[in-house]
Amino acid sequence: MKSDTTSKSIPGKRKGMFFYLSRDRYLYLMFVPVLAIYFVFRYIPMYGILMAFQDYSPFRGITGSTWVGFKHFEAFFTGPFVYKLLRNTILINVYGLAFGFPAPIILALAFNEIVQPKLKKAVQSVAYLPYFISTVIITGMVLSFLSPSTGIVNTFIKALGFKPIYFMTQPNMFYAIFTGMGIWQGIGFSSIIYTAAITQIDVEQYEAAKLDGAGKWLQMRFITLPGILPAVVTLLILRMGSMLSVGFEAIINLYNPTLYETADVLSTYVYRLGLERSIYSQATAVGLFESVVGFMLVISTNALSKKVTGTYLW
Amino acid sequence: MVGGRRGRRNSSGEIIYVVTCYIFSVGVAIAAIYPFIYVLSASFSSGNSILTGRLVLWPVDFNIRAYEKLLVDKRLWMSYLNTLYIAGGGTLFSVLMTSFAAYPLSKSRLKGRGIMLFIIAFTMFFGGGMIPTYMVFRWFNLINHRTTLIVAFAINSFFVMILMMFFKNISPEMEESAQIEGANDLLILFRIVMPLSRPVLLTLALYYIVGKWNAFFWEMMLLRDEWKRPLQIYLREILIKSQFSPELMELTGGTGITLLPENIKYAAIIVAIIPIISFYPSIQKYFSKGIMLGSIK
Repeated sequence: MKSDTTSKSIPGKRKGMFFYLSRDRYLYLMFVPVLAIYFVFRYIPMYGILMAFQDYSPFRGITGSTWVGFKHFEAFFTGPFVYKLLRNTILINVYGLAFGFPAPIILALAFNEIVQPKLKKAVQSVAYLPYFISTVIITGMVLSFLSPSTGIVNTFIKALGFKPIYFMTQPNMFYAIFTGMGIWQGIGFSSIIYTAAITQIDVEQYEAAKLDGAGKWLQMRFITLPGILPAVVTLLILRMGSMLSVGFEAIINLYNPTLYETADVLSTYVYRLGLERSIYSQATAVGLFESVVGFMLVISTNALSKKVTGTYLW
Repeated sequence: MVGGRRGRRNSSGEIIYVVTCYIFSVGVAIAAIYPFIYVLSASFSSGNSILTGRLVLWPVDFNIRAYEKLLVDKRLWMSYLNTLYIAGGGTLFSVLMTSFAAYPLSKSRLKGRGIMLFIIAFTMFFGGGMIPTYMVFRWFNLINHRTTLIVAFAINSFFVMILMMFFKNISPEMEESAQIEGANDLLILFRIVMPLSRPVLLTLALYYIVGKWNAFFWEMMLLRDEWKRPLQIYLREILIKSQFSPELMELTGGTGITLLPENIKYAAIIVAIIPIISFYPSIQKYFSKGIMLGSIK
């Protein structure tokens, strides 16, 4: 192509599509592989959602399978699992919100009182570490440590003269174990954003407070905490947008049939139904329900965040 | 020290507060590191000392038998190579594709930019889900290829947005002067824009590589042959799959013999996290910066 002639073309007048395509051809060209990846791996799966409204048969494909309308949704909502799955999905999130959300805020406030820079940096670096460890290792350690025969937790329990606890076969302990694991892995790294928010606070406010005789506690209570409140509110609202999402990769490593009563959530159910038992249509229907509600939650919490704090994702 | 000016009651509460903060901070750090110290010590201890609970912090009956057994396992090294390919190669590809997505989107002059942006942003909020995504791999015969994982999960839409913002803020003068000298947009991206964006590209690359290094779900679903499987799947066999049956057996009155000695499990954890731990001190600051990248704007 003769790029030098096109770029010097007739000034002013309306330019055709071809002009822009030619001028920016390299920009479009580099976008082609990106578009291909998105098309194949993100948008064709959206087309695959049609399976939820069919009795999908792999041999006949989407075009050849029988349409059944909302049959699979009705079956799920009237079936025996819907209550348990929704309850577990929401409760795990509620616990995460109640305990996992404030933990990094408290940690950031605590970090803020450490005056020795070297100690502060060391403590912070160590606290971030678990975030970088894989789900497989974290869940593997949880299982090992909680093992009744060989785990260190039960070793202590036995040393104190009690009977070993079979943690991973008792449904009533799963919420606590899962929430604790989440806090352990995330508390340090999530505190970074609050630590950063604290550094944004005007130093003069602290100077003035010191002159007024306010100690560390009062400074925290009346300067630091209000100072990071916008960040807290924003993150809280955004967190509400993911109330249906659960770290399901961790759950499929941790759970076993004796724990289904409390550990089985929407996404683990979809996984077992669809990928372990190949009941594709029903699994797709449950998955679609999850993504639609998730989508609505994100949209509405984003709108809420926009209104309340002026911070938003898009 | 400074507290002299204040009332006595105030300063004692003061001390309690500050001391609590120190205890909490240090406590969290200890809680974060202790499991790894325990795992490290256990990997050098006899299986028996773990079973009897004599091991608390330092190795008991120090020995390297677990490593001797583990390190001769060919599957370990094979899985390491696979992880290097999927995570290392995948990260290079990811950075390239993320740049290819972000650069055109950073040009407001581009016709059709709105649609292109929508195509990417929409996937941040809605997706086909697990089953339809899996079916795509089946429909296109992409199962059991390591390269599938590199291509299919190459682009993180959120990272595209971050990089786009960053590209937008690069002053256009250098690009313009390159344009005058006849360089095309592809060359400008490679020669000018990407070098200028090194810090942010490095940060994104680190996020990509840690994510890919640690990922296991789709690797588990897609890779059938044992010799194609990455490290995390190998670990999963050792740590997770070997776990339940003896436990449940014990509960039901079985013998409770652990199939795999505990110290081998712990040695496997150590072998798997060595790369992360050894790079951790030098890369940690990029992650701290990275978390802030997302919150700009």
